[in-house]
Amino acid sequence: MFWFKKKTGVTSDKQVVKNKAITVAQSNNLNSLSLRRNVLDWKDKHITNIELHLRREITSLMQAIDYELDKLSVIDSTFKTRKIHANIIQPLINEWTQRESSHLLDDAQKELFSLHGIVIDQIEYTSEIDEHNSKAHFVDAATAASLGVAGVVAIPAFSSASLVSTGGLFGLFATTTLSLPITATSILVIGALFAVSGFKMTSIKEKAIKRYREQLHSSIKDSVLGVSGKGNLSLSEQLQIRILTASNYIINEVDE
Amino acid sequence: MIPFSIPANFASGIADGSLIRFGAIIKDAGSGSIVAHLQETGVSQQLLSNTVSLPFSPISAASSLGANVQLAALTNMMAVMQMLQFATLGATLIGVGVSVAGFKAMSTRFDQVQSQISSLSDNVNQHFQELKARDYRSHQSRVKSLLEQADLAYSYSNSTSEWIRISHALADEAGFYQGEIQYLLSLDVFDEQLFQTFTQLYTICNSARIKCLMLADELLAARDISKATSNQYNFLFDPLTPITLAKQSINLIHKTDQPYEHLLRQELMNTKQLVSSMREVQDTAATRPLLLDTLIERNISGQAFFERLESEKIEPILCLDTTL
Repeated sequence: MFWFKKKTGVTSDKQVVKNKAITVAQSNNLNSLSLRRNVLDWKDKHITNIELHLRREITSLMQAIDYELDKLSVIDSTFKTRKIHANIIQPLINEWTQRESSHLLDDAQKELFSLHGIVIDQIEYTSEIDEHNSKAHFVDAATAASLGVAGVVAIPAFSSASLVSTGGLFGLFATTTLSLPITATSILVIGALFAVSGFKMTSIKEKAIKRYREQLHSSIKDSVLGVSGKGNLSLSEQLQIRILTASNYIINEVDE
Repeated sequence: MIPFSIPANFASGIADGSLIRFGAIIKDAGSGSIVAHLQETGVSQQLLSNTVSLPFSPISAASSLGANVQLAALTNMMAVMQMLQFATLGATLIGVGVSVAGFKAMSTRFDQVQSQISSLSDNVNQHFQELKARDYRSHQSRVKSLLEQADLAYSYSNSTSEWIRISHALADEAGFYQGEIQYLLSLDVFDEQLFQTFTQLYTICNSARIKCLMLADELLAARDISKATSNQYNFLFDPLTPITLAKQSINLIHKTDQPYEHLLRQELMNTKQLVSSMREVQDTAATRPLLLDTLIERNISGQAFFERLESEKIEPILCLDTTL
């Protein structure tokens, strides 16, 4: 907040051009308060949206995986499990994760830029104001927001996800994509069952696929939403941390 | 003469977007300068004094209040607040502008809110078990006594030093409740009722502190404390997010047959409303130092300001017009 820091300046300005000086100080202060509130609303909205969106859209990933699992032959599900996981399941997960992350962060980024646009407009509008007294704060706030973005990107919040760089630092959030570490596991059990029994293949296959499907669903749900509350940060938490970090950074700059 | 006008004078400007209400001020959308400070009156305090949970409610909730309030007057007040584009009644928690509640009314409200704590003990909360009921009673008695002393100070030949002393003592009590709120928010579970209770006790202490200093005509000190209080509110309430609170609220529910997704959406409705109210509290607190700046600049004494507001019989909110 600025009004106390600038108390002396306002008083001396007041002696020179009384009305104008007071209006300028109030205007700056109110702009910073409005920006602060807008950023908090932005944070509240997008942190909530991330959780609800992922909870809603995770069903489409599950359905896509189920569809692929249903197509597997006995041979595929017995002898080519690692290949299936690497070539079919993991790409589906990666594609979904990247698509949803990009969608959520792009959405947040667009809105954040529109908030900064308001500040920049106000700087231009109040360009007559003494730079030392007021304008510098908003330039700093806007610059800090941009730097904050770079800072957010650099924060190692992805302890559980692999990082795939997708380009330069053009966007606040879009510079890094996420993939979930879902590994091939229980489908291998089919091979063992086949070796022992050699019959009732359809039933065995169905049971094995069902178990694999359930484990995969549970593992994905935990990786995306952190339902177990254990282990590494979920995708939802990682995305929320990005929003929170950007929000904190901008608010700290505005408050200084 | 204090240049008050009525909110209706700004209605068309707010409706066409040339004026914007933020916190407890109306500003010019173009220049960003303050046009008026919103200030509650004695009418507003009378209407809200018996409605403990109202500050956390949407404006529309006022229509469901019981017969113990003057419904027509309250409806009028809600209409004014809607015209001013308040989404919630959060601002009334700390007072629109500065709180004009009398110290007796504050004391009564404090008792009403504090009594909720004993009813909350029915909840089987691990964290509540850790709280010491004796501590709460001790602080309740202390605040009640201070508010009574503040009311008595009106009749002193030299009230100023007494109000300043009481303001300092209330700061300690506000610090206690701030600590309790911080503790509540540090837990893995979120008890909304307990949070609302402590928040109200905390804000009553702060409102009384500021009122004491204004009555002592220590407006600079009142402004500095308003600023410090605003920073404390930001420190406490900035980190709140509806989804996090909703998930933590579900942790408090021990047995339920309802699916998690259903519970989450249900809790989210409450926590969105709560966070929205707390944001309104923060905005209103942030604009309070600006009101005090205006009083200082215009040489309006704290006592004269309160006398005028307490004598108002019709309007629940007045506007201190900075253009007059």
